[in-house]
Amino acid sequence: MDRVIKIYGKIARLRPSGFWPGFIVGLIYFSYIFRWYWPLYPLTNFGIESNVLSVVFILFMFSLSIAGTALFWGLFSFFILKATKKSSTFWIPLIAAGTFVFAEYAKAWGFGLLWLGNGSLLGPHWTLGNPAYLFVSWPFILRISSVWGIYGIDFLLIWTISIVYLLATGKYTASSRIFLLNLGLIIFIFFITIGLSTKSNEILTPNTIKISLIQTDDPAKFKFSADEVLDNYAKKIRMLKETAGAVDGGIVIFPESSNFSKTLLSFLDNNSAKNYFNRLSDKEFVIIDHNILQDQEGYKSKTLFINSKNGVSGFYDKQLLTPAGEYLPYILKLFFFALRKSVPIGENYELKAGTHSELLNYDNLPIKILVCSDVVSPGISSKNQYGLLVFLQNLSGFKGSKTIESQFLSMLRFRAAENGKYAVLASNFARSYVIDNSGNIVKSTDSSGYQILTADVVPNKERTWYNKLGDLPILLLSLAIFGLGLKNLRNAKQD
Amino acid sequence: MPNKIKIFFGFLAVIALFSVYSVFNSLSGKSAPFAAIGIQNTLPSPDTDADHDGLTNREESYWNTDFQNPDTDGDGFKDGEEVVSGHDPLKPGPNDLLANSANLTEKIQNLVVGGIYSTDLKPDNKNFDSSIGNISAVIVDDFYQSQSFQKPQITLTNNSKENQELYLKNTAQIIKQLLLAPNNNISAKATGDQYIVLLSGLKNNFKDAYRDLAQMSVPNGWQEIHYNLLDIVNRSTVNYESLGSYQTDPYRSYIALEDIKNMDSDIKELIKQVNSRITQNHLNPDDNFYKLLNQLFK
Repeated sequence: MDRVIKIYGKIARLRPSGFWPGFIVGLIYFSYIFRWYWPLYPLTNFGIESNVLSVVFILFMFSLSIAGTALFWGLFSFFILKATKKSSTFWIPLIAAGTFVFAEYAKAWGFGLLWLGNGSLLGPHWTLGNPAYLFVSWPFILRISSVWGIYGIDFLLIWTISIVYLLATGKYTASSRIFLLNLGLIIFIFFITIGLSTKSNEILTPNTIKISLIQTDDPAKFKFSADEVLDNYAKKIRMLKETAGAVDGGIVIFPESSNFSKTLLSFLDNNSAKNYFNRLSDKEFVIIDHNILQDQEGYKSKTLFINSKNGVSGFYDKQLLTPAGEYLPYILKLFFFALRKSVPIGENYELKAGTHSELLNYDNLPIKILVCSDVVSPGISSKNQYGLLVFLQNLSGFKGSKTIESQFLSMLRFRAAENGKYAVLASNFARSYVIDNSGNIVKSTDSSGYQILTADVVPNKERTWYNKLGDLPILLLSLAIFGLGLKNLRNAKQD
Repeated sequence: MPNKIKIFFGFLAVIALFSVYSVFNSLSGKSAPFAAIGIQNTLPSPDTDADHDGLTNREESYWNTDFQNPDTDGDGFKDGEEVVSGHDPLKPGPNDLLANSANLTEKIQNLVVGGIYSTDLKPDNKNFDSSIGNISAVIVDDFYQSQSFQKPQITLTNNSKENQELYLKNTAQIIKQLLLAPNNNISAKATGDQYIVLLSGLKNNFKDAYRDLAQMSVPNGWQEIHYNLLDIVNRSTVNYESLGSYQTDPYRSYIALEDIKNMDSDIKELIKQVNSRITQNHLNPDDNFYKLLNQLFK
């Protein structure tokens, strides 16, 4: 232990002082978070056939991601060390919490800047690795997120940890006024949050919608033989037929990259396709299907909303494209250029980000569609008023990695809790879920593979505080505290 | 030497000199003596276009056409126009395509440039664009005529259920390839340029498919469908071959891409016909493709 403390002391003294402890902790933490990069190996499905190049490519992406995100933790620890030197002990935990919120918010922006490219959507979207997600199984944490969002949880977390640290180091005592004041504030905020979050839960519409999730197991492949395409498609056809009768006018949902409509139109002309959907059931129902389709602007990740009696009634083009998966960031183009390798081709590498409204209309009920990386952004989920969250994912590229599956699931549970909406997850190569408006898992498939998951969900038009205000309240609070930290920093420099 | 003989040799010498001069003069394209006495030259320069048909006199000699007649075969098209558009200038149209199909991009280029040069096409004319469109359409039409499908002799068998089901089983693989063709043969490491060349490699698959289909025994009732299938496979061969020539003949590749799009509806129509015949004849072919069709059309 002494040895560890000594090493820590040495690191802490390295210049710029205070930066390295946060940066190194960040490196370790984000290496753990981003370990799902490695199951991507080999990259033959992404057009890279050389195994050596695959390793170099993944290593490059992994290193850049962890260093790019850990940088913000380094800056956080650098600032805290300076700003708290001359602060009153009462303010130290609050300054630490407010600064951490800013560091996390900047990190969400910074990750997008790091992977800038033609398909980028700039904004505070990339919340991967936010510590709040680690507490997904704590119901009251999920409840807090419906008012304050994940940054509010970060704030409380760092606030609490700082108090514990000050207690442990003897700067606070259990009977000191400052400690009791901090504790009182936390309890006060906790009760206010409970009060604010219960309101939305009382106003749930009694009507339910029958949902049927078609879970698939299509592997990621650069090319499929005609027989493979037919075999996979025959399974989807059978499952759709099976579920069409049972869904009773509800919604059938295919996962990301199911390409159901696209493949159907390889066999049938528009009229025959319309007849096919019409014949599936006497009752009108809706199919949500995801395809990679081309329009005048280029290839897009397109979710179609198909009414079984009236054809396509809407679509959503994915907005937050995945770097390296759906577009090639500039830095990766530079990487290939530096290695004198040709950039791999594939329709997925140059997808165009959508600009169309992401809400789809089901019987006058707006439905929010999230596809794959859309789920990492609390901002995309909280935009607009809607009644149900539908999340489509395809994890075949990760070959069934449980790490990415659980991280995406945690994020979806938070998105459901933040907005007080039921959320359903239709998955390819992973399990599918139904999540209630508090973020709890209601139902799931027992394993990956071709399966149907049906459930009744309760659409809810009522908006939570977070859905109305987003991250604004916690950011304003953090800004005020951060300003106080800056003032202390200036005072420290003057002294 | 007597004077009479001197005059005779002198006369011979003048004739000889005149002949030599005439020969050299004709080689250089000038006939000063005739010009001098006002007689029109009957041997025009080989590099001029005497009849203004777009072919020089030298080229007229190559094509065996009349250098003084702009339309040797009298079919209404000038000799030069016929040559650049791949038609035989000695054979009246419409079925006068030359066996050796030339580069379509060059054909259009030559026709348009020739048309502008001969002032038949005027860029400032409001119909200029549509005229070029018409020229292109004629060239495309001629090209597909030259590649048109000649119905091969096929072996017919009786229309028993077993024969029909066997026939369907044998054709299933070919139809599947037609529907999902671009997925095969493409390497993951292909770059953009290689991608199109690889697509053109598909023509070999279709060539083989055509050969197999032509040799296949066909039940009586399936003859028409079989010929439709052969036609589509033949078009696919031509189109995928054309895609491979995108660097040397981009226009041909472009029209091939357009035709691949058009073929889509023909293929779907064929699928409909096949499925309706299967239902009509109560057949139960043993292939996942037909089972899928059954699901889609049921």
